Amino acid sequence: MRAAGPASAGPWRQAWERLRHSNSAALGACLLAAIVAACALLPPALGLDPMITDPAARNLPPSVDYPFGRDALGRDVMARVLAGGRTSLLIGLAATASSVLIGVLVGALAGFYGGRVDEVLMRFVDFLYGVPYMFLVILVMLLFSDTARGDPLPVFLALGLVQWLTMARIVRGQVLALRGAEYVTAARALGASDSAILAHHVLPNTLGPIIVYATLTVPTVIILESFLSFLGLGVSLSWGELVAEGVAVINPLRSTWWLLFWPAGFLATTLLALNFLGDGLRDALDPRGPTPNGP
Amino acid sequence: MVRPLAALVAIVAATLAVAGLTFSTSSRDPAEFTFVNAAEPETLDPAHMTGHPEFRIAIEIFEGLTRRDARTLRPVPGVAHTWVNSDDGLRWTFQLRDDARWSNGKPVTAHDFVYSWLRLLDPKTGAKYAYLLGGLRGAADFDGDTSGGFGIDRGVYALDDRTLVVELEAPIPYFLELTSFFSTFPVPRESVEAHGRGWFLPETIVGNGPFVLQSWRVGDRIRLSPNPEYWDLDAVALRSIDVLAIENPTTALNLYLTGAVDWLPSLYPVELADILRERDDFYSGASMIVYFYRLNTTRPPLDDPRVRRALGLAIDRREITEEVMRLGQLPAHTLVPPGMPGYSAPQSGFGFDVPRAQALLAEAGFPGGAGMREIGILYNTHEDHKKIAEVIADQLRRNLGVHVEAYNQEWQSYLASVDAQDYDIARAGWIGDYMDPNTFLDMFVTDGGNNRTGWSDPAFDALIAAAGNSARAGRAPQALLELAPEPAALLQRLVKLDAAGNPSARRDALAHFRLELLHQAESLLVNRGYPVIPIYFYVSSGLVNPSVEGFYSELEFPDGSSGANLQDLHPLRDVRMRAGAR
Repeated sequence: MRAAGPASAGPWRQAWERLRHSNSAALGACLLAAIVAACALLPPALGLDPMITDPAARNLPPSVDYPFGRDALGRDVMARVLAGGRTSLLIGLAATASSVLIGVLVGALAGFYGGRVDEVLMRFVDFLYGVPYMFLVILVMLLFSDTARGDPLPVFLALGLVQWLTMARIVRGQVLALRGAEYVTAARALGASDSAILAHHVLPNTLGPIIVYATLTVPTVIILESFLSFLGLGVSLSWGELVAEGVAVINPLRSTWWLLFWPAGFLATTLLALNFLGDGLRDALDPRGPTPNGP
Repeated sequence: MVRPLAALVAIVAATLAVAGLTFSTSSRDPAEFTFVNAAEPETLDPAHMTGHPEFRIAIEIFEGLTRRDARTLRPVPGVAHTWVNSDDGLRWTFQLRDDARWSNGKPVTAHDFVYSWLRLLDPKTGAKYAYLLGGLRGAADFDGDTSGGFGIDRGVYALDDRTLVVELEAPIPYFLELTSFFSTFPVPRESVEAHGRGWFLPETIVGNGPFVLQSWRVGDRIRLSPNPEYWDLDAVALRSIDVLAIENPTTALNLYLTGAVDWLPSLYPVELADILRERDDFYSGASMIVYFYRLNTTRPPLDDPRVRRALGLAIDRREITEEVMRLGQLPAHTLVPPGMPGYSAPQSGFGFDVPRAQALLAEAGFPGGAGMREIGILYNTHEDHKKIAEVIADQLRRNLGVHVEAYNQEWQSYLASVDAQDYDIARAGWIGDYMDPNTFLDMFVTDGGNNRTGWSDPAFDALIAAAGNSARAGRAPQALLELAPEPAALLQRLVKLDAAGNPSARRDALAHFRLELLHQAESLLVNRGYPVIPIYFYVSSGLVNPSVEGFYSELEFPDGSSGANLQDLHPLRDVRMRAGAR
């Protein structure tokens, strides 16, 4: 007899159903999609160039031609915000990807093999946890960039290298729990190799927490990069740098508010959207969570 | 048994108390006079400093043979109370005052000056400004060997504790001004020898200026207080001075507007120039300062003079002065600021000419910028420098198709990068150290401490050397005849004049000849070598609290005339706050 209703559908399908019915997650996803689309598509479509200066037309407030206004050198703020968004989002994704890669690898090895491997890897993680992460980031950036210029590569490498720590711990915990599971024992009894067990039986079951944590890592990385840019250490032309420029023109004599409003608004909206989405994913992927049309 | 809650409360209370104590002792009373110094000083060792932020502090904690009068900026008696220059201009004899003392109470003697000057000249010291005293007799081949006792064979020696004699290779018209320039300030021998490179830190520094370094919190402030041993302590009015290391113009302006800062030299958001210039407490005036870009002539593609010139030709300086800076700055196509008496600037190969620039770039093998790597413009962290660099990067991109990236470093890293020639293009500013074109030119001699471009031209070196030795022009290097025929022709005339023996005609001709040599030297910079791209001539400007007295944004001379504060220099010795100001 066929089981009836979605309650018997696979865990992924259940999760999707739960996600689909979460208002905040849907809002987050829509906002994020809109911002990503704007950053990716608008500049080429409208022929926007964030670098063209025209000091004679400096500090013009938002108008029809320049909806976000123009900055102190007459550059188009919309072009700059969208270009900055590309940089920030790209760094968020790239650094998250590298943190997932390292974190999952380390966590899985430590959790699966346990013992001495676990001991060494986790103490290393503990050690890195103890070092102030900003110090680490700046150190890594100095190591990887010989010119201390605004290249994105060292920045996202550095951020990825400090962000994997929590990921490694989460994955280790999950793997540790799954290692003793009956189906793993069964697979081992059938003669499956360690790598096959990890790849086919253990990691797929830790995917939920990995996805959730990765989604929450993206905004963390973006804000970290913004923080670095704000300090003058980050990538050139990112939201963080634009916010820093915007703050610099807030003074008691005359403020050109649009230089701060737009990049800060985009940054905040993106972070909010990513956090909504991450929260929704966490609820959706929680195996103990309610099923959409459950009992 | 201790209750957990009570224990927790006790721990929290103790923590808060410790934190409270820590913070209450780290904040302190504001100083009587506070100014923003734009950058953390790289050093307070007069022999090693090169920048204006360091100069501002050095003139307060050290004093040379002469010091600058705040009202006129002319040299007036400092450690020396009288001096005599010999008829031939080659020998200066300074009488030091009896009551000049170091802040540790020991007397400042002529031997201190001999030590300090030889230390500056010693190649082992590595002073960037060593060439400043290069005109002293025997300075050129000084190898730092003082084993035979300081002096008499050198151009500086002590006749006794109170008499210092300086002998020159040739008369230096601006020599007296050099004796109030920071490089020639005396340094405390005992402290320097006992503590090495860090001798100028608050714990070990010994100074002889009107103020002493009381404390130095890196990244925050330097606190100066009056030097109780200063010979003219009665003239010192301020009880304390805070020197803030702030690089952010908005922060600096906010501090000024809230009254936390009394003097804000030039560090304010440049967009607000139009509002600020309407204020009564705003000052601005002509200055002897040039803003320029150094080009690293050792790095391809900038090793090609055609590329260097093309970059300079493609910069629209008018857009920068009129639309970005907007305080009446003058576009600069040459290096020596206007207003040097008797000096005329050469024609420049740097006028704004985009087609010419494109043609040169194509000639150098980069038609339309194709094939050229990305060029970096390094600037020290400052909003103005950033704006200018970004406008220039865009101009070069639009006019030449060259990819240019502007990036910043804070002051000390920036100085280190420029010294190590670890840059493509580096922003620079140069304030005349004395009122003579030479101060803008002689730094570019081969391997000069302030050259920093890797550029070298024997003809330029010969011209600068000849200008320094103009009194003995008759034996100017033969090489000059081949390298620079025009001044060589002048030289022939001079020799004839010399033979005619009319002293006053000869003196005038000498002065003229010397300026002509410098004119030719500058011409080599902006017409042949292109190691630098001049951008504009500064206007010195700032905001100063109206209750500050003895601060001269406009100089006042004894004859009633006034003049611009060309070096933007404001000694604080005679500054006082009007009663009831705070």
